[in-house]
Amino acid sequence: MAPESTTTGFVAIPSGEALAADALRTVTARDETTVILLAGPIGCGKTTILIALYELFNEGPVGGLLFGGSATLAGFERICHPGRVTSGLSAPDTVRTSRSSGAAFLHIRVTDTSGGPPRTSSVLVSDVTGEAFVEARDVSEPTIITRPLWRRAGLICVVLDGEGMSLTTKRHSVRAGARSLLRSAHESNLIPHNCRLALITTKWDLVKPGDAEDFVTETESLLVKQYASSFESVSCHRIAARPTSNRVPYAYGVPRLLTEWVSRDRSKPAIAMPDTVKDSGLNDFARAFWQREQNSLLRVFDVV
Amino acid sequence: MHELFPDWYRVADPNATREVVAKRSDATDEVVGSITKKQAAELAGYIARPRQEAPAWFQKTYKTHDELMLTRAIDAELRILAGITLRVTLEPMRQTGAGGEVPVAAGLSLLTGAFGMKDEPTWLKEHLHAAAEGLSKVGRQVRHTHGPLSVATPLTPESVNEAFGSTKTAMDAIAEMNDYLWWALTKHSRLLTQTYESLPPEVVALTAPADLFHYVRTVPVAPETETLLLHVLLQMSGARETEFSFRNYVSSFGRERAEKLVQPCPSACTVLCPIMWSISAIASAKTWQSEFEKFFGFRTATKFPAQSMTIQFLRELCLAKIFAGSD
Repeated sequence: MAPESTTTGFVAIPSGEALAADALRTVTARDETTVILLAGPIGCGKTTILIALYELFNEGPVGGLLFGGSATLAGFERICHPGRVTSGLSAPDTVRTSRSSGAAFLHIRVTDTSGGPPRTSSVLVSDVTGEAFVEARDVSEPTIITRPLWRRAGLICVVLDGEGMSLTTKRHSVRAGARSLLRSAHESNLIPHNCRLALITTKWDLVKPGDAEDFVTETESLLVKQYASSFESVSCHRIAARPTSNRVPYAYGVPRLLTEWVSRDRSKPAIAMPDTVKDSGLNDFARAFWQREQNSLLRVFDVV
Repeated sequence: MHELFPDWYRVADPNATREVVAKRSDATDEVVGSITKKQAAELAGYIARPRQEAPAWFQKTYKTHDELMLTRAIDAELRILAGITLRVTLEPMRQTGAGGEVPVAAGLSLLTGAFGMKDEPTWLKEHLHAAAEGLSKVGRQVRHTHGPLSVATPLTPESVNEAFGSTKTAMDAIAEMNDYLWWALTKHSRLLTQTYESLPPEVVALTAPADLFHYVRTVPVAPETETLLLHVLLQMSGARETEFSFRNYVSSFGRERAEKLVQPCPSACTVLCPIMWSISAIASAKTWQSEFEKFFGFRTATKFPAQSMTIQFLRELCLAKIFAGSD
């Protein structure tokens, strides 16, 4: 029998470009997938993080994880090109992500061989113009990163521009931008219930020790204090994806970030507490037991 | 359609259309309508063990409802659907405490299967919570007397039998609780004929559930039974801090004790019972570690707190009881 493709005369070949929102199923149906929204204003370094990650994988395993393939190799090559010698540019650059690309996602499949049989999982990271997040901040029904995409996110990474944070004239607007994005997302019910939050300060090589570093720390604490309860967990990262000085190495902080992206909880057994029974000695026993052992039990179990 | 079905399913397909969601939901309802306890265990094994393949009957049902559904490279989608199927199966139990072998088997299978999972998928957690909640409700419900304990005149055989039935339920529950309390008071292992105080906590973690299970008359156990088990374990000095690797628990237990404790594990739930499987392996002096890691998908060097081991073993024993005689 002739192959199915010849009956129509066409064979669909994946382009390898960044995936549009309606094509995510090809990855999410196949692998355990974390959908990540890299959220931040234009020029804060979202795409540069992805470039650094891809370049690191070209050299070998990253954060103990092996590269297991990608459905968007051409998309990665496209964003990496201006940072390479072959681009002919005098200095590495990152092309600004266009609004017309819409909600595009880059895909990386990783294999973790650190425990038990090798385990493969995928991450889909948004490569979207910063305008999308300005829009998400200003309107309740965003059109680029739509509500279903927000609701599907497993991890929201709020990117803070380290260069802006080191300038006294700009730092407060960087902080205010991040706060208002999180507040809008929270108020518009865009954050799913089991979503994690990562606060990423980029261009760490430009953040001067002392005053600027203190401001970053203060901003992180403020955001954690205000929004931690809306998320399953919060982590903070400092990154210099493409440092311009020798203060930190290339892709500083990126391997740890990848580990955070693919990390999952070790399963804790779920356990139910006894119900109250009218006039029963069980109540006193159960109450005393769960109070006395609370710390030890909450460490081990998910108490329902 | 369950009201949360679209949310659950969109983890596999973020942009699924309403039509696709409806097709998947219809297929799920069809599976739930005819699912057996063996199939429930099979689905839980598929979710929890990375090397398991999707059951053919399961995949076929979805394909029947949607001819365009892909058949390859949809492993994550099928696992998510298997999780939803088990959740919908156990949902009546969670909402009203309505029991039945299949929902109980589904709940216990999910909980026992999740033990040791290195990377718990984020979508699984809420199903595990629902399973624990549902089993606790059923555990309470099956020990509660609903019928009359006296007979009205005129006497009919039905009313007498009903009163007898209610009385039996009440007496069984009281006798069971009485047995548990004596066991907790004596802190003595009838299987090993030793007091728990003479045993190290890692051994008590595996012995206590087997001793307690001897007095279980109805499955699932009530949450107070699990609490009592934890109470007895934590009375042992050092139990709170005990956190050994899986293989250390099993090797500390030793062959001689394993021979006394070993119980047959029905084939339908073997994949969900790592502790029963390993005790059986050391009782027969088999080299077990590499086979274990392949079969269960986690390393024997993985560390577990004693509390977690003890609850898992009790659940495995309950699951095995449900499947007893199915081989």
